[in-house]
Amino acid sequence: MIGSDVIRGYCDTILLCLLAQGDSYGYELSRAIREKSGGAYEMKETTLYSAFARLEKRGFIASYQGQESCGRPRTYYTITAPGREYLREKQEEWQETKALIDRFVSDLEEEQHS
Amino acid sequence: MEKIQLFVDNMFLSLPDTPEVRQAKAHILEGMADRYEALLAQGKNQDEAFGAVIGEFGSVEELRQELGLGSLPQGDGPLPSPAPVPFPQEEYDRFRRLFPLAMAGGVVLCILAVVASIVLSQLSWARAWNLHHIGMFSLIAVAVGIFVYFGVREGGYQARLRASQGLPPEDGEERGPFHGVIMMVTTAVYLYLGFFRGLWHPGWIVFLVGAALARLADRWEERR
Repeated sequence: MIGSDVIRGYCDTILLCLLAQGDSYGYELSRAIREKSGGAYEMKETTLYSAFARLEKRGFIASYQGQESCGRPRTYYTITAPGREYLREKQEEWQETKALIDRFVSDLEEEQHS
Repeated sequence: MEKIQLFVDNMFLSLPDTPEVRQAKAHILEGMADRYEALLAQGKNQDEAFGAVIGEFGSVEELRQELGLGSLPQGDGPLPSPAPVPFPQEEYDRFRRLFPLAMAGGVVLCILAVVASIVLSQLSWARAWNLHHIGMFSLIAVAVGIFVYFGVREGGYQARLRASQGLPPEDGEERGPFHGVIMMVTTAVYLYLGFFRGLWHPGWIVFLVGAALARLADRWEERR
């Protein structure tokens, strides 16, 4: 299980990636995360809704009332243009971060294998 | 489903009643309800599903920070429910199969006690040794023992089930087993005084004594 500390910087990115593939709602996104991570990461409810609030405040996503199911109106989220822009930035940032950390970790791995 | 509502209400106690907070609460409940139903559809029973859902709740601190409400200093404000404790479901399932048998067995023993008393009282040698009384009370004692043992265990499981769901103990659950035992013994003494000594009249006083002793037991239990 990946700790929430590690993921904290990328919760928003994960959600934006999923929303970039199509509008969705709370539970569906949570389920997609659980599935895609193969159980390695489960986003807590409070983390999820904090992220929604944050992203909506910054204008990266918008919410609307979707179709009713089981008599409950659903809140759907959609990614906005600024949101897509932000996502691109985060994508780049991730590649850079990955490359950076790899530089150190691979040194260590070299040492461990020699 | 109301249990989820109760849990969330409890977790949100320390937050102010603003439209933002209310919206966050509503959205979170939405998600939890969906997750709960999905788990039920997967075949989990209600308690398992509920336990899973509240385990996935997260931390109120996170919401608090996100909504700009600032963190509470440690120890201030109402305490959230204690961390959910895992509930030994398998163990309880095994126990639950025995429980009705135990209750039935206890009742059967009580009836047999009366039967034994009647039968033995017809035999002069048994009467001479007071076997009709000894036999009856022995069987009743075994029955009471069974009731107390299984009753206390069941109560224990119920309390743990509630604790594992993050709910506060039910009224009266905080009382230890002594309370129940004392009241049962009191009743037994009263019936003895009544049936065998005809002392229904002053005999009722034992209930006052029993109640007082039971209260003392509760206080002592609390101290522990």
